[in-house]
Amino acid sequence: MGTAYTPPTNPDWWREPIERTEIWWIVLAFAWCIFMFVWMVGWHFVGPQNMSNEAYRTTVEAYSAKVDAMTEKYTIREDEATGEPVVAPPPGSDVYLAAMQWQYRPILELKKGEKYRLHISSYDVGHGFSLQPENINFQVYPGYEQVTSVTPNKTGIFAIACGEYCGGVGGIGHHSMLGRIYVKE
Amino acid sequence: MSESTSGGVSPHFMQKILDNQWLLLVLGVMVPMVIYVAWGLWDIINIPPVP
Repeated sequence: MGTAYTPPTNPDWWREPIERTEIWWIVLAFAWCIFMFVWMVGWHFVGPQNMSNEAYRTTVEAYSAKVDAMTEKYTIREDEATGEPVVAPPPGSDVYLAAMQWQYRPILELKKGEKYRLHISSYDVGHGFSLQPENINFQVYPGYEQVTSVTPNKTGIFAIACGEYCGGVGGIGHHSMLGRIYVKE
Repeated sequence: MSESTSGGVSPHFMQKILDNQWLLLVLGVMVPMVIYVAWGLWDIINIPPVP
């Protein structure tokens, strides 16, 4: 038998019969590989990792029209901290969030325990959407609409951080790109 | 590492592949790269338009 440094002693080693233990080793390792591959589907349903999402092709114009329509219909007040409109869409509805250099719009106010279909897209360059402190992270691109179902289970203020470098000039930019989502009872 | 066996029989083709460390290196890089890129392109091409 050879070693890691020396060749096999039998130059026709492939035709040498395999020992039973080695066959079992190969069978078990291969079966585990297949199981892990198939279980990738399982991770879509089980576990606290980043949620799965749907993706659709869209355009900046079409998407911004949806964001503007929702904002116009469901704005409830002006945010005290930023002066931006706070939008409270009805539970069960489609909720549209836009990322742009260098903010997220609009500020959403959601209800705890209610389900929403959250849509996210970008108006200009690639951004990230990282809901803090939860493990919800997406890449957000212009021309692509990411959709996922969310049911807030905690009240409070959640920060949205941009996780993809998106430029910056004059002291504002990616590093200061933060949004917020309010969740109320 | 010799490519011919003691009986003068040519090695099995699987042995020729597994004995060639440089081929294994190239396959080890190229196979995952090609599958990853091809799978990704297929996924992107199949993104449907917004309903």
